[in-house]
Amino acid sequence: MTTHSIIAQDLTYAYGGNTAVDHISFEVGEGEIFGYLGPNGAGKSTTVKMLTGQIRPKHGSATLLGMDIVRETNQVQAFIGVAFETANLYGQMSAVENLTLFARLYGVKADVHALLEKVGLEGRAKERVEGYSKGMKQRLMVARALVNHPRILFLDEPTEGLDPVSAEAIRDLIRETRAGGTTVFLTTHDMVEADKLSDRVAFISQGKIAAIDTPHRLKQQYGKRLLRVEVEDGGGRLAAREITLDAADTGETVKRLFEREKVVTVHSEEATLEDIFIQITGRRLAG
Amino acid sequence: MNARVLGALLRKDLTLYFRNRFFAYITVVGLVVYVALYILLPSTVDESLTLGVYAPTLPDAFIGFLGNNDITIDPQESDEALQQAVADSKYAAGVVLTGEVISGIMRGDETTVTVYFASDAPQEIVDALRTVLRLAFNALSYTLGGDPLRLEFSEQIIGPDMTGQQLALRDRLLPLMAIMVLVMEVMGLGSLIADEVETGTLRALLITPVTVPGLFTGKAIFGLLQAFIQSALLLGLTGGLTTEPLLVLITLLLSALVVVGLAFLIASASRGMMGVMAWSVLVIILMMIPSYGVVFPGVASNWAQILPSYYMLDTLHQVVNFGASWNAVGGNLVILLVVGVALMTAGAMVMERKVR
Repeated sequence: MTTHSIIAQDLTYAYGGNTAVDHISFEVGEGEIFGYLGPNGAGKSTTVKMLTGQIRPKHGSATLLGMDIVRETNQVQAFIGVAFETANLYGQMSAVENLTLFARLYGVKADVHALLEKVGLEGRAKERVEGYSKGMKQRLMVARALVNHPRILFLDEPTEGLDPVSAEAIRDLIRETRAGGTTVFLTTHDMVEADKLSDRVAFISQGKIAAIDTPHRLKQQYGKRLLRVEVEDGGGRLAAREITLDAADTGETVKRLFEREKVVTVHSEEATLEDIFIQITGRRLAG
Repeated sequence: MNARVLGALLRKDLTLYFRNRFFAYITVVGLVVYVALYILLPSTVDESLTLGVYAPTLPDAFIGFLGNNDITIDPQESDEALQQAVADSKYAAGVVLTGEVISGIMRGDETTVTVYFASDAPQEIVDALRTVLRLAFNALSYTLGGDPLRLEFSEQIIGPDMTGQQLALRDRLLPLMAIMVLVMEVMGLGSLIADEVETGTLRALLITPVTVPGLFTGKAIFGLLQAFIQSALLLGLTGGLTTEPLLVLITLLLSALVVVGLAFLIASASRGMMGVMAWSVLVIILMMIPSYGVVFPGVASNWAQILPSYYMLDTLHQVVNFGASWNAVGGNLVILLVVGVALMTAGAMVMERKVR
């Protein structure tokens, strides 16, 4: 039987008359990386705020590690870590001081130097954070979210705007954290990242969940697989051909192409999560 | 919220406050400058006064009595010249002693004496001169007519007799300096809170076991201690704690409570650091208005009593400079307590709405 770290039931939140999250329900298994995908304004951050006890749901409930987030907010917060999208660190304090402060607030003994080494900041641990680059701040945010050894880690756009090296460092850290048994709730509109990291993804659009499944099954269900072929005509010009892989006569079509045309390159292609998101919701992920 | 969390929050606020160069500078340099100013200003007052007098013939008894009281007489050629000299603040007061007045005193008649006071003369100088002049005329009346002076004094002096109690400028300024140190905390604490809201660190704190009331408690304690310790240090270094130290310290603590409440309100009303600065300057100017009444008596009218700083300043002035007792300033302390608690409650409520 699967143990669920997060159970959201009928969660709803409205800012004035605008419903940001509209009766959503889902479960996240223990040790799972759950990608929460949607464009800006879809309701991702509002969901995270409800799940982390920052705001109270107008309707519905959420249980984290078997505790109700509204009734047992402080107890739940002792077991979760949150890395916000925008860096909200104490700029006039060093990385060590930032982490030590939060360790004290949680009442835990954390090896902050080991944590900083894990995110590649050990060499600049005693410098004031205000002098850090965006990538370094983001890595420190993740380190801060881990300072209390959380059982659930919430990450909001953790690699947004980072260089590829910093982004990969954070992805490695997320995988490592999950390997230690921590559940990861990953909020992003970066479908490549979600695809790389997530065991399952949920698509949220206009406050409602449009689909939940593994990236692989979503692609199987909604995507179409193609062969993209480049051929050269008599005049030396290149032309593109597309062959659907899942049709009944695919074999015959490929055979004919090779017999009749001069094939230069052949690539297989499958649908991305973004293609599927657009297909399901009619909206784009980015922006 | 337990002591561990509170300790961590206070330590963090102290670090952030003193790593902000502006506030670290203001705190340290301000304290040094105020103490230095106190030491450099004259510690004694010139107790000799010069009185302008227009008198065709000046009786010796009158001159002798005033001379014994360190009051020098400077004769003027005419009533007009005397009025002009007083208007030019050459003298705090001028007396017209015509032959008719002298004759009236000699006959033992009820006599009216004209006295001019400079409009900018400190109230206690005016009070002291009134007393001395009354005594001088009594001496004159005994010498000339052998009878007590028959004068109806319609003026009444309310409050302590200030004769011989003129204050050195530095002692007059001391309560003002202490209040200045206190109200600067409005800006310091207000900025600290607004910065946490603006940078989102407050949000990060609130997903830890720190609760909103706990967070405010931490901020309030930090603000109280910061304002109280600074002002107590200033008074301690300048001898302001030698008279009724407990009473002075309680006044400072209650004043700090008012200041923290104002800082909460400013932080919740402001958007960002510039907003805090703008509101703080306005509040600081308003809060300093009652101090003009102590430095320049008579210029701040009774309406200044609607400002809480009046009660901070009046209490400190009365206790530090005149050794007033608990009974004398008890009413002020109650007002400070009520205003402080009301401002703290209102500030915390508005802040909570903003944070949530």
